[in-house]
Amino acid sequence: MSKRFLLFLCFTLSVTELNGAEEPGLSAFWHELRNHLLERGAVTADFRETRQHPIRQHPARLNGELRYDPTHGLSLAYKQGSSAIMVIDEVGLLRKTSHGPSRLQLPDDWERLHQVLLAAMRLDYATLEDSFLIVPEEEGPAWRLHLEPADGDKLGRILGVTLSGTQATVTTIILDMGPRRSIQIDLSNHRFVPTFPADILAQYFR
Amino acid sequence: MIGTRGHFILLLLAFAAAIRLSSLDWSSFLQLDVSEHFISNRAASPTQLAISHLRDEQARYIFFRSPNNASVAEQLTRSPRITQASASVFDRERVSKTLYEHRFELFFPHWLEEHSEGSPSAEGLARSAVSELEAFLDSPQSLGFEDLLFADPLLLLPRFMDSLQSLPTMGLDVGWARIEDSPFHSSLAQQVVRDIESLLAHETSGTQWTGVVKFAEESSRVIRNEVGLLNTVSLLLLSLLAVLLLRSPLRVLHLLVPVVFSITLALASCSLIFDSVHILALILGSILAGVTIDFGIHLMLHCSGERKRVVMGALVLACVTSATGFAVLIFSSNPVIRQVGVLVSTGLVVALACALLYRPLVEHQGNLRFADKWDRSLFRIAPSRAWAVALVLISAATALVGVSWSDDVRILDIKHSQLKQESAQFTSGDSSPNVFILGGKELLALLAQLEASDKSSWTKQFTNERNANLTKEQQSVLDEFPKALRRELNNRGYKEALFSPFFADFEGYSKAIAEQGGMVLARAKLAELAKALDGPAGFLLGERGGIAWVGFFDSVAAEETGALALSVEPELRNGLEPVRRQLLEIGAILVTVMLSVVCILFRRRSWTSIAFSSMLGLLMAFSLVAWFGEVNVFHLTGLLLGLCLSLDYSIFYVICRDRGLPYPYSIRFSALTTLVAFSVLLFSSIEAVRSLGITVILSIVLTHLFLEWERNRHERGLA
Repeated sequence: MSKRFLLFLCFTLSVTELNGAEEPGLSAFWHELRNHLLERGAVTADFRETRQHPIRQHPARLNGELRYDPTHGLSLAYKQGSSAIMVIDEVGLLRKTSHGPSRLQLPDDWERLHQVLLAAMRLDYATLEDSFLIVPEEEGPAWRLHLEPADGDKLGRILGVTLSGTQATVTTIILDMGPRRSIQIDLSNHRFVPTFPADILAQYFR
Repeated sequence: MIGTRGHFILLLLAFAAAIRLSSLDWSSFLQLDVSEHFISNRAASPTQLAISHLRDEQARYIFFRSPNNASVAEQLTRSPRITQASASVFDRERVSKTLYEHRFELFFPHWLEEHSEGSPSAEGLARSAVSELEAFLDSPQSLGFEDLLFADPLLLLPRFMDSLQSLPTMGLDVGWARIEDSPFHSSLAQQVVRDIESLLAHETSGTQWTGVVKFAEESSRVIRNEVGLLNTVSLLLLSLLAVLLLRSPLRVLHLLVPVVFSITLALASCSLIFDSVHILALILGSILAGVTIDFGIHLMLHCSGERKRVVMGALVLACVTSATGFAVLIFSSNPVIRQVGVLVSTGLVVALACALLYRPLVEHQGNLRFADKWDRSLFRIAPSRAWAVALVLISAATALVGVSWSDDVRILDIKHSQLKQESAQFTSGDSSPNVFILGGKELLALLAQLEASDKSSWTKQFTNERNANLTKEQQSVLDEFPKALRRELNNRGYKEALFSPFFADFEGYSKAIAEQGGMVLARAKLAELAKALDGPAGFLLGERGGIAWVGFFDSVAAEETGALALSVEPELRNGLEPVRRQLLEIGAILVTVMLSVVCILFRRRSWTSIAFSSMLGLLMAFSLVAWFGEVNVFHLTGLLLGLCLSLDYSIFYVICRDRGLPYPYSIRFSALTTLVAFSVLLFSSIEAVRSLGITVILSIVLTHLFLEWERNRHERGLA
């Protein structure tokens, strides 16, 4: 247990090396899905986040507004606490509060998790296949993409990432980190725009 | 003339100087840090001592970023000149381990103090702790911390991590290495850069690196090239001029003998007096070429027949005046100015001695090409001196009123645009954060001092001198606290057993604090943390040789605590102010002494002529410089040099005039050679050198115009 704690404190961020790889042999549906997602551009959606962990008696429930832009990354504006905005992009994790932006210090595997999440959001199969076994499921307009780590040690505590959706809309993101350890983000009320205006980018992204 | 014996003495001296110069370790003899001697080195207070140490350390670090930092770090450690290398700015594992293992000693007393307001009870503390834990778990920022909380339900580490948000981060994936010696004090810079480049050549492409050593190496290379180029171009131009106008290449070679001789002997003398010579003194010293060639010119063009004694006397007088002027600089408290004083005054005396002893200069007499045109008068009119004096005094007065001084040491520096761009890529988002250092004898005391400033700082969660020892009341509460916390956790529905890592560690801490006392414990653990903060991270918190320091980024806290900026920038901005004051004083003394000597040695009619042409030229040169820009110490140095040269020319002219000899056109030829030598300085990449060049050029040109004015008045019988 303590060895895991030793990994806890980070002073600088690290970036996962996600090397490019060959496109995996997925059916045309998945490639079309990716293209559709790209075409739809940026999205704003309401989110409900459920965190489970043995230390919690009950799952923590948080909500707010999610913004995703294929170029600028993911932004989660929480309504709880200090109304923090968490920005996850290629550079790392940034927390924006009324006191200004600050880089968030998290353990290595969490940093990696964020990079995986970004790759999953843009359905970058080639990158994902480098670290995961991709298990696709489709049923009519609904789909589910489950990612199982190909090498357990390589991604630390991440045991799986699942993206679910309907047509070209992502509705659920689940991060599985073991027994009673998970984060589920449910999305609703999607609003698509080609790109975010500059003031939104400045407020909600890096 | 001493003849063969004289030549023998010259040869002997040249041989001794050559041996001395060849035996020098030039890498340590040349002082390449341009700010050295211009930045205050006084280190009276502990903060100044700490800053002095950290600045020295700062110069030794290099930073790199590569797709594979670990491999680069491993490669770098193969260089014997690199003592340490690491793949990341912090030794994360070591620091994390230290913080985690000693979290109670490092943070608990502050937590207890913060939660002990009023009359604290173990139950009250437990209730606060669990409430805060619950609130934290329900907040977005609990992400990623959950596993840790089994061992840290008091949130000691998350709270500390939160306070770290105030720290600017250097950027992603930055590794570092430390070089053994300071890059300024040896040829190390060049060797280290060569080593690193060769080691990194084996690495994958995309490896970037920066460090003071890279700047030092470039400065050294640029300055070395510049000194070489300026001297070569200067000598080539002078030679070309001499070949064109003196007709014979052999005469040119003879003229160069006093020049080479004076530079060699002046440098050798400097090496005997000073351990090292500042690069700037060397650059200024290189102007000797332009000054000393004059002696040979005067002798070669006029030293025959009835003029012989007059010319020699004038040369000795002029040289004594100039050398005295530069010798005054020896009394400066600034080593660089002292070095210039020794270098130039020795060079002038040696050049004169050489010119007088070296017979070919007298034996190869001859006229200049276009001799009939050289002594033509420039003006047809010669108004009263009063007009000139009034004009110059009004100009000087307006210039003095509006003068703007620039005391920035960076005018001595090379621009390094490319390197600065490369270096900027290592500070992501945070543009050169200003680090403040607070020094003292003990870390605990410094932390208390910082906490008292009540400003947000990354150190605010630490145990400090004030709260390290628990009060009796706190001690008794502490004994009851674990039980109370277990009860509270159970009451709120948490499985108390999950928190066993916390209770086990807390028990150990309680025993240790009872046996050793909080102060001793905290002191020991802070020392461990300081050791773990290896490399550049050590700037944040450290101890060495009885001096401790804490680094932070809050300028208000810095003002309140008396901390000083680690950056030398504020000192660089005004670093030359004391030198300027000193030069102004020296200048005033120099002018007074020189004019007094002239007054004593010459009749009234003569000294007014000398003072008129030399002083008005200098005042006008100063006015022009002040009108069109900021005046710096190198303009003032240029004026001092201009004063010496102007006096030389004026004295030479007046002595010839008073003896009834025709106008000595060697003055014009000398001025031309001096102008050529100084014009080369205008192409220097160092602002200071350019300032010197332009001032001397203006001084010489204007002195000649006033000299011409004087000559015209004399020829018209008006003087």
